[in-house]
Amino acid sequence: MKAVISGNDAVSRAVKLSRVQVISAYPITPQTTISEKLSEICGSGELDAKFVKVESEHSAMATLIGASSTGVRTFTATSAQGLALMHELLFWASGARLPIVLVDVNRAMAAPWTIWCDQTDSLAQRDTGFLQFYCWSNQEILDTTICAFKIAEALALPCMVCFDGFFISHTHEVVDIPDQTEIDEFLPPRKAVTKLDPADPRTFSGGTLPDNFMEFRYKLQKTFERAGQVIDDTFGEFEKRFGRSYKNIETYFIDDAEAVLLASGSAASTVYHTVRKRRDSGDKIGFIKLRQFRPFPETELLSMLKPGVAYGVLDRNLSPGTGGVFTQEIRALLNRNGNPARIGEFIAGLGGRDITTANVERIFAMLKDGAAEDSEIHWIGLKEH
Amino acid sequence: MPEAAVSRAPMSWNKTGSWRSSTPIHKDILPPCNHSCPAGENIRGYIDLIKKNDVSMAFELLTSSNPLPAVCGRVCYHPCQANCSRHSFDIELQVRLIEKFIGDWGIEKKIAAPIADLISKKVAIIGSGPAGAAAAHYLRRMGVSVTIYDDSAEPGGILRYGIPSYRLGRDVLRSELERVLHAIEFKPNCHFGSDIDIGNLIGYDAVFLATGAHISRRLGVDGEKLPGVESGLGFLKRVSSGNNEKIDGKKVIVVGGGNTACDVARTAYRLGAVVTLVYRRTENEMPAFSEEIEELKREPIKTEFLAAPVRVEKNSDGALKTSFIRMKLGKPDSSGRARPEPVKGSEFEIMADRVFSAIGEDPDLSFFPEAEQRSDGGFDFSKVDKRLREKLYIGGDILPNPRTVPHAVGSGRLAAEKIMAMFEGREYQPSQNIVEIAGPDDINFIYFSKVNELKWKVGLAPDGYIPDARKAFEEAGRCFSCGVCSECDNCYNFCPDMSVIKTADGYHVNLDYCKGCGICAQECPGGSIKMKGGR
Repeated sequence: MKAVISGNDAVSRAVKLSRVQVISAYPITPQTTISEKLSEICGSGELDAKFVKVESEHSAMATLIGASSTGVRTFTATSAQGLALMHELLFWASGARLPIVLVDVNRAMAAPWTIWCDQTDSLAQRDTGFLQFYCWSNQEILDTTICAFKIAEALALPCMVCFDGFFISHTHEVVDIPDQTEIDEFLPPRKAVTKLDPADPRTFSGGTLPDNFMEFRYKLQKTFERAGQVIDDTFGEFEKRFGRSYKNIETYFIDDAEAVLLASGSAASTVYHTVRKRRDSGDKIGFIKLRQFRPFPETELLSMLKPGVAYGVLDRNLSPGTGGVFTQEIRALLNRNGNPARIGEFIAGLGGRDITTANVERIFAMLKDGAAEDSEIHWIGLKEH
Repeated sequence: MPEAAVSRAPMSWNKTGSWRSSTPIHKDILPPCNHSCPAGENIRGYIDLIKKNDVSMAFELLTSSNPLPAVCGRVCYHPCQANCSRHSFDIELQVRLIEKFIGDWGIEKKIAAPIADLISKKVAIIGSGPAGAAAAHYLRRMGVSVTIYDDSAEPGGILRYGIPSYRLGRDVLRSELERVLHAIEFKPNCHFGSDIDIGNLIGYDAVFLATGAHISRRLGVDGEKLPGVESGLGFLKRVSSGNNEKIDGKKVIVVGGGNTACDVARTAYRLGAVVTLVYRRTENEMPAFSEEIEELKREPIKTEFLAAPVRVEKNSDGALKTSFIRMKLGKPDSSGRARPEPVKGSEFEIMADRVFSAIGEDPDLSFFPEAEQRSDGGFDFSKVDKRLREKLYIGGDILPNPRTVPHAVGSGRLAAEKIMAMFEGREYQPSQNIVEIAGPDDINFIYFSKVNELKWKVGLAPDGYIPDARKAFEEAGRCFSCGVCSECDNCYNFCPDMSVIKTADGYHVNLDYCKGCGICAQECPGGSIKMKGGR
């Protein structure tokens, strides 16, 4: 069935199709309409799930940690400050190996107070042990959220699905909504290895002394190292069943490109649109869409990035004192592996500022002028200050 | 090793209680209603039982301290309500409604007052008012053989012959007294001092004197002995005895501002008189219960404040010319109320057919001429015939207490307890040691919702409300249970360390794991958990 729905609505439909059993969320713009819709369908009985009202995002995540420990499928959605408030519990979710799915509708971190988009909120959670995906369309949101449950449960890892506040969350697009029976076949009920069960009491994540803790962290790392394959397999199965393909990175016109820009989220659409248009006039430029951030698709990127091409990373985020998070990650990857490809760093669109096709064209012009060779942070669309 | 730290070993080795810097103490403190009840009722306790839909147990608990709940539900001024913590929230709990409901339930179910097998002790009680009836009831419950002597034809004292029937229906009074006094010998028309004397009492193991305060104070002005200038209480007694007072259409003046004055004025009005109530201070200083003043004001009774009588004269036509002088309020007197002072040259007259004095009553202790009045208003009985002195107990309005029905009931029960202690050869120990009284500061208001004040308030008069079980249950549901555990499970549910343990005898804190976070105390709706510094 096709429907014209918002990005947030795509989430709530995916949650319903995934037969989530416990939902707990606290309202925060621009996520709010997700949890509103979910509370409605829980209240009406359309979704047979417990919706737990809480007084904060911290409690929402704590609730899901408890609920997920009993072996049920759980979900929450949040944004910005709400995600930051969950911070300590995000570590708990991953350390306890609970496959909680969290949608973060990307919103810039205050102060100053803002409700508009950038990706600093979720990228700042990169060390918490959550899988992370970034979506650029409503169809992708729906499909990724459904796959997120399957991936998270296969790996016993929590998963974060991210997309840009307002630019995507509140924009309506045509979305193909799968049938419930098809999803039920693709995503069977969760099978937890160990469950919190009063009849079979155990201690969960109890005090662990130095003689054991490190091994748990090693296992966590190892799980992330094999997660890429599970993710690829899951999206592969999804493609077979539903005909829609998703890769951890997706490339456009890079084979003969002299300059290539890497981007994620709604800005990726703008880059894609610009590249296609410029290609028509013979401009040899390309585009790489970053879809998966944790685990970072290292193999694919390494094999793709070559010396002699001017690469740029469009970061809609800022790690103050360092620069863009995606740039850091890619530069570190290249450096670690002795890949001499050069990366130019572009910061744009913070706090909801538009990233326009003109901005993108300007970045390509800068790349051709050697911006990839310097180590400057290039601020795009910055006003006189 | 598993992927996650899941173990069959418990965490109980980690005694987090060792980190504690403050400790929750689960201890009931005295609810303000219980504290303020002159009859010593466990009000919170019986309201809790009503909440639990156990009227029978509520009746049992209530009558364990007050045998007259139907009476008190109607005539008590309910200081419990004035002290109710809900004052600070919406409107005080209408305890009188609940008390009346329980009392009427007892009458309807014809619950006979419990009695014990007789022991070989006999007590004489002089006076069958609320003090005498209460003492008789509690002594008989303990197996004491009780004889009540009363100078009237029927038991009840002030309840029967002082409080007008529109405030306390005689059917209710009779039924309740029958229920309470069913195994007690009642000797009517026995006036102590004339029909019986000390000689009749020597043979008893104890004597409880509760003859009340029946002598109306005189006006203290010229003409106070003229025919038609009379005692207000005497008038009430005659009306209650069925005497035709023939005051229909007559002009009546009532002097005074207490409950007796209000009762006299309202009774005279009901008999057709044109009534003027004259009081030397203002309405604010009237000693009558506030509800009674409110109801007096709703009736066509003229009030003349700041006026005191100076003389009464008889006109040739037989009418009483009563002269008053205007007063103004001066500095506070020993009672704390403003002292009224006459305003020179402000005399005025009111013509009347009858003038009732209701400016206070005194006990009649003419049968004990040795009893001397002390400065606190009470009496010294130490010089009374020594054959009686050692076993004489005093109660009701003879005591220097406020002269109210619940005070009288309380004094009767207290006397019974003291007499039993004497019989058992032990020192009397008051049962209640007040350490701490709960109040609004102990309540977590978040757990309660407010009611519409106007729809809720209940009047003093019995016809002001209908005994309605649903309303009583609903009202009981509003009780905060100040300072007393209501078994709501909040502490048990909220404790993050699962240190609150629930057992058959209540909640306990496992101090091995309690870290002293204080959430249990914070979330206790009624304040029966307090945090104390240290371990």
